[in-house]
Amino acid sequence: MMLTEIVNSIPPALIFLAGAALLPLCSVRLRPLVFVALPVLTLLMIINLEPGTAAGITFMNLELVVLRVDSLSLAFGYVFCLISFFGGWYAWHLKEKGQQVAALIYAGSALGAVFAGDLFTLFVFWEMMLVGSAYLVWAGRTRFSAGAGMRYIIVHLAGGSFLLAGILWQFAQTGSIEFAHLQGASSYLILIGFAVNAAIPPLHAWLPDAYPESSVTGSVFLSAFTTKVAIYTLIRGFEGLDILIWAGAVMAVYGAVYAFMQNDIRRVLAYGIISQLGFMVAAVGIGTPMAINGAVAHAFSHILYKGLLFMSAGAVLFATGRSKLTELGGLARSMPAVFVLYMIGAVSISGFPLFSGFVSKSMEIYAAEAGHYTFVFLMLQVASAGTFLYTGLKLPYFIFFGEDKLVPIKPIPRGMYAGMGLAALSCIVIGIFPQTLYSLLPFQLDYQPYTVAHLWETTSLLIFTGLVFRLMLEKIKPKPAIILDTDWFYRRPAGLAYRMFVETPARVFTRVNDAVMQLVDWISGIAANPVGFMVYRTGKLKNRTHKAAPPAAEPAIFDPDRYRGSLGTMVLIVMAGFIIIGLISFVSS
Amino acid sequence: MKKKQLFFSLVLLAVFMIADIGFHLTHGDGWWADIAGFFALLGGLGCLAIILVAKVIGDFWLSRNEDYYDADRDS
Repeated sequence: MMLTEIVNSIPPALIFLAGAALLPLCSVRLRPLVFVALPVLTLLMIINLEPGTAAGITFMNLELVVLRVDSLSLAFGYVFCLISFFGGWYAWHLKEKGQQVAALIYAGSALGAVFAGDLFTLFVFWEMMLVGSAYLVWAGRTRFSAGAGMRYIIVHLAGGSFLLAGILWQFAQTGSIEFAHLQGASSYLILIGFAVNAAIPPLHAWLPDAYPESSVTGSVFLSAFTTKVAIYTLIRGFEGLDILIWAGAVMAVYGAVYAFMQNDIRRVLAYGIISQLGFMVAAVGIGTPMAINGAVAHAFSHILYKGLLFMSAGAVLFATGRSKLTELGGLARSMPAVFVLYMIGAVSISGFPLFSGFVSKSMEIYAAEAGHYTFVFLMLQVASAGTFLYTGLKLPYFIFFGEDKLVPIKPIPRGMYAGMGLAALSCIVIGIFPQTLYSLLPFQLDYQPYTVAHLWETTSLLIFTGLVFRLMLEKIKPKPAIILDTDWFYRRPAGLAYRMFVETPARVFTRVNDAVMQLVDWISGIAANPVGFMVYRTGKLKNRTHKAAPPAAEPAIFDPDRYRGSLGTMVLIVMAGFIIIGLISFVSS
Repeated sequence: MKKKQLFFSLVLLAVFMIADIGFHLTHGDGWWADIAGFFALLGGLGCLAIILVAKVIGDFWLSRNEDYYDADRDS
């Protein structure tokens, strides 16, 4: 009894973080095993947690709630454990301690954030997520990932500062740091902090900037945690906030249009995340129990199918070393298994019947319809069609079919197939048995996804999306280009700022330095040999032209004997002196 | 070839519209429930709109060379 009580008051994050500390001590062969064991252990622990449990510690007169268990935090806890488990299998081949530890810190702090009952605990885990995730971006180890990782950190530190400022303001006003529904002026600062992580335009550009540059395995973890923790916090703090409805609807379409324009596979998928987050953000804004259930269900299934899509895109990148549509094509014959697994993820995200997107996304769309948000409802439907267009048609066509570029293939580790297979299985299980997912949702509602009307609407939408794609196929060939986004506003001035604050001072410094050195040259030259310096131009001064050729090698250092007159001349000068003095004294007397 | 595809698509659209009217398949309180084959139209036209918007802003406005941001750093 005592033992279970103790176990039930340990925050799940601690298991991951302890694992991150111990993992480097294990042998190379043991590490992947430890990595996949940790999510299983945590999942077993979370399953045993009773909703309503809370555990706190006192820190500097503040009551921190490090563990708050309710159906909302549990749902996110389950799916975070699942994707960590799948990701662990996918990354089985990884020999790099740094990435494994970073992924564990990242996953652990994401768990910590969703189980945090107060704003300070949330903030601490929020910033810890940044540490783990930034390492995963840098682990891409390309010249692009270095810059993208740095921008990722800067944007998130700025977002985190808004969050902290809002929390402190809230604390100063109300004396409470409880994380519940947030209101008042301070809540808008917190909302900005959340919006950065939820990638709500125009604060979204970090996501498609950083995720495609991360390592093959890192992007699987990245696609899961940061944004979904933000969806969780939005549900917790801003459920029913009207502005989120429109932000979400715009975001869903914006992400779809931008995803369609990209050339890099993982960048298409990254914009796809933004589009999908739009559905969730809109649902949070609608705020009815159906909408909240929809947001949670969609976040849950989205993590699994987006993880699967990033895994298969990563498998293509791993096998070919290429990630651009313009450089790929015809891989279906050489990578049939990856193609099938990718398509399971693609039809799941597109909302095909019997796959997970169908049973989760539809709740949000239904909630928009039921709430009479007609335009939002239509925008979400168009975004759904767009999702199928870029993930289900355009990407697979140009990767696996199209012009065969005869790309050489490197074999893929078995662990990758295991990770993808498990994720694919989860998509199918949720699609066929939606009750497994519905039983985890915050509200107990009677929702039936498999109705004639819903099946009819979805199949009509998808079939005609496919027909338009077929008709337009010649017009939508990918091009090797980048598409500007709101990161332009900080990336372009960054060049200017670099010139202003780094290059220009450096140039001024160099000039001053040169001038001073020239002066020193001069002075030392004059001091060493004034005659040689002035008459024959000796000395180290740069670019000195010889006015008169020095007789027989004029030395740089003054030689007094060289210019000394003869004794006779000296006597003559002395005698002349006497004569002048004599003459003067004679005349004056 | 192209014309055949277009013809096939339009025939299929007609079939969907007729099926929609015949079996009352689209439900809902909104005005769209009265339009035959509404979701087929929405899927097709919405998808076309995304392609066109993407082409317009991509080709005429926001598209840049792949080394666009690199050029800054090297100068």
